Amino acid sequence: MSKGALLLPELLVLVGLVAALLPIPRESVRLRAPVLAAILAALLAAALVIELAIGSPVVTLVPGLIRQDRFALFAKSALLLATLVMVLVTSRSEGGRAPSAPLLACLAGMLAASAPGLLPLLLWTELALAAGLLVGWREGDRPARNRVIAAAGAGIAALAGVALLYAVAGTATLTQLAGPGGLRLTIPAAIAILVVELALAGLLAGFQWFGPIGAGSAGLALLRFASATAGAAGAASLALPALAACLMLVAALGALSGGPARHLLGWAGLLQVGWVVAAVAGGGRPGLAAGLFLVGAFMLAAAAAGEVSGELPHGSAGLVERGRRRALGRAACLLSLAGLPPLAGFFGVLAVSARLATSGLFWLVAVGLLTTSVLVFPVLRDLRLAFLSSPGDAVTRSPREGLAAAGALLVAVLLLAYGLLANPISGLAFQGAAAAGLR
Amino acid sequence: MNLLLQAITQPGISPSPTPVSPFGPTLIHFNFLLSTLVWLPVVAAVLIAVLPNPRNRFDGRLLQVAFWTNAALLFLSLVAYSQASLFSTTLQYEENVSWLPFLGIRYHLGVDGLAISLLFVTALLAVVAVLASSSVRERVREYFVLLLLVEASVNGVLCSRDLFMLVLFWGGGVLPAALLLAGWGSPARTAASARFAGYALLGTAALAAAALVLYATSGGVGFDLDVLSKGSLSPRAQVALGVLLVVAAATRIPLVPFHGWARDAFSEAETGAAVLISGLGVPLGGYLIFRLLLASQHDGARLLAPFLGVLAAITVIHAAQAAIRSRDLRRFGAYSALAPGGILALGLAALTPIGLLGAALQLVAGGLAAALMVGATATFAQRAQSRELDTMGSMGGRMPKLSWFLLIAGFGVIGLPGFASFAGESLAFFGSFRSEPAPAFGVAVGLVLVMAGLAGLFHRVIFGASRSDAPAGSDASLGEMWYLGLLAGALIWWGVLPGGPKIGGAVSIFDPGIVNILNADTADVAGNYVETGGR
Repeated sequence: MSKGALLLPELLVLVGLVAALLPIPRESVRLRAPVLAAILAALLAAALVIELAIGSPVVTLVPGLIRQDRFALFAKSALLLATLVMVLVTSRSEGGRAPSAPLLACLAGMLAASAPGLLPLLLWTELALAAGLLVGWREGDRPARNRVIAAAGAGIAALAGVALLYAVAGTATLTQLAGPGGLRLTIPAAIAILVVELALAGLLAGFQWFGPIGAGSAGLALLRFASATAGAAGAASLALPALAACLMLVAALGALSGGPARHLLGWAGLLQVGWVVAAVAGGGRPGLAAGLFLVGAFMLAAAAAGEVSGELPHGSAGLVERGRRRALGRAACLLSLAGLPPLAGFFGVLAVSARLATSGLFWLVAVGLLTTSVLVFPVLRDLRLAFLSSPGDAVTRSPREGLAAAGALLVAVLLLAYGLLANPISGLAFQGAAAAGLR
Repeated sequence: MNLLLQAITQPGISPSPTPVSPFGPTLIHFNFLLSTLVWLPVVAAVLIAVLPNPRNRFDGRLLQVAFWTNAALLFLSLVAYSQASLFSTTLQYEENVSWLPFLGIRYHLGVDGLAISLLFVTALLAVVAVLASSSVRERVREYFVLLLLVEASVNGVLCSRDLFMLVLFWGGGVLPAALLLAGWGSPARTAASARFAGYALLGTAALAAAALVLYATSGGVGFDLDVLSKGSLSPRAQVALGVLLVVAAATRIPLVPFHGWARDAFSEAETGAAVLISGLGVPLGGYLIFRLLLASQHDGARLLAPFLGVLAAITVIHAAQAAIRSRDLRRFGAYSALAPGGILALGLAALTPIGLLGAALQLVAGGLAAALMVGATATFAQRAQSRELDTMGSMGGRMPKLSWFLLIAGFGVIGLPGFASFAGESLAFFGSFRSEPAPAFGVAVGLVLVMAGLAGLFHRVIFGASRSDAPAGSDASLGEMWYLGLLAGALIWWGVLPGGPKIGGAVSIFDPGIVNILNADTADVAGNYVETGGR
């Protein structure tokens, strides 16, 4: 097998992206959009299978740009799976949202996951984030514009932070960053900036359509960066748990403040980001592996959550009467993001908690468990509305949703399987952590 | 009764000889008995969720699926019970495979005599809950799905030998139970559901924290209870762990100050849901303390026992005074249903062989008594079309059957002779008066007050002077007779023969195999008290 074959998944995603960008005549959107979604889903599924089948070798494909290792294997697989789910659940959208943005985010995320250097890691991650944000901007509403401005600010800050790091370290290669002693303060600062950016991305992932893939990419970038600089990030040992606790508390308070279902998803996403940062704080290979596992769970849930919760003109009330599979998928996403058993998010949270406990960070475990418990109240309220309330006379049953409903059901099954059959996934996450150089 | 006499006359209870099962050890033989007990309700829930039900035409069929599933579970648990070596302290029906090795988590199920007795009671309560739910007309599908999921989670807790799995099932049952409370019942059910969720999640968080503490102190090797229970923690760490476990258990039993959810949950929920949740709280919470605190953290148990005793006394006294002041029949039932949990806590706090045996009996008897009290008051109020005690009078003539059940429920709660709760209560008192005299006295005072409250209730509602504005009630239907009769029958059966009514002349339904387990797990805890014969 040639080294070039390892780039086949990226090539397939690129083909899908080009296909998604081709214009569809307005009059035939309804007919062709599901066909296009099916084709894209098939391409992504093929890419995922290829990645898992041949992605295990550790090899430099393009010097300075693309290096394949187990971290990249895990990250790319998670990105492809989440994008596949997203393409399926968005397939019922009639002409509004082309799937090009998640594909672009996926491609950028895959390249970021394979990046051996600081600059490509950051640039590809920023592109993945921008792909989602720009779509949000296209919606034209004022809050979306404000979110784009905030995210752009965070992106610039991240770029500046990394540039500073490069200036101090004199190298952009990830594996060499941990060396110089002068980085003691610069690295924690860069990590903090990345965390803030990730937090913003995680929050936005629930608020708009195509954010989750970008947010997941940002999470993976943080883990890659934190693992590469673990030796020099001693000063972050206090700041990171505090940051994680702050994110969790903000998420819990935000969730309690009410708002539409998509806001709840946003706060739940932020809570999971808090747990990811806590995983970094836990340190070591188990910490990074737990973080990787959790980012995968987050992407899978968030990828579908936005869409299945998005268009509810009558609110969540009686959702089950309007589409049982959609309601089920939505409930699974919500429960997983809230970290409730027995779904993927719960197992991720547990893995992080176990690492924190063995690291002696019991106070952070307590904060995490309490904030996760707090989040259950709005989730409970939402589920009660969706499953136990009357939809009202004006609401009729949705027409057949085909691929979208299948996608919603698929994500529910995947979220369950991701947790209950976590062994191979966690094994891959551990190999990924090992590849990142952690013990 | 022989067990009771033996316990009273001989503080150190000797193990009984192992009887031979009349069914033979392999009447039903398959390797996944416990998995079946845990997952069959989930499978049935999925089946109910996907069965076509156009315009709710097949609601009756859905109820039948739930009923027959629970009947099958009851049969299986009875077979499992009768075939088990109840007197052995080793695990039985064990299933142990690696599940998540990166965290040392194993799919490890297993039961001893204590757990298998409670599995049987859970199955019985689930059958009763389905029968009590026959009047549900709205969203029948969702109702039974949630009911079955709650049952599965309880079975999972009882069968788990891996602490992670235990936490998973413990926490996994919270949301279905909260939705069960939120979706059906009186208009105040939403607040009841939110309160329940709050307390239950606090308990789950405490239990998860305890699990992580144990995991960390064991060096992160895993969550297997067999390994964790052998770890040596300092007394201080054991107390911290014990506090977390007591909080988790107290949110379910429930004990003051973690009882805030119980009044509304027991009095505002649909009858079947209220019966199930009230009946399962005592066994679940008590089992947690037995299994995780008394069986392995002996120093912590000793140091925390006085506090547990105080909680028990406060709970029973609070239940009594709140019931006496209540002007609402269902709330009266809800408050008085707290008393069995207090008695259970007293038995646990005693840390003597007799006290612990009383607590073990109270796990079963207290659950049944609480469920019967909540069920009888709910059905009485439903049939009387009123909950206001001030408007009721001389209902005994109009509702004779339900009045009888109300009387039996009251007797069951206070533990009159002839009821299972009498045996549990007596043993708890005999066991605790020496080691925890003040809490025992407090619980006794509380029980006297409960009795006074019940006397007032019976006088006003059943025997009192008839009122012109009293509601025109109707008596219990056949279905209601069945479910109340099953609970009352079980209470009386185990009350008359606490040492074990026999099937086929050899196997007891509830027998002192528990004594062996207690002796094996808590020998040195209870050892200080043993004077003769005990280990």
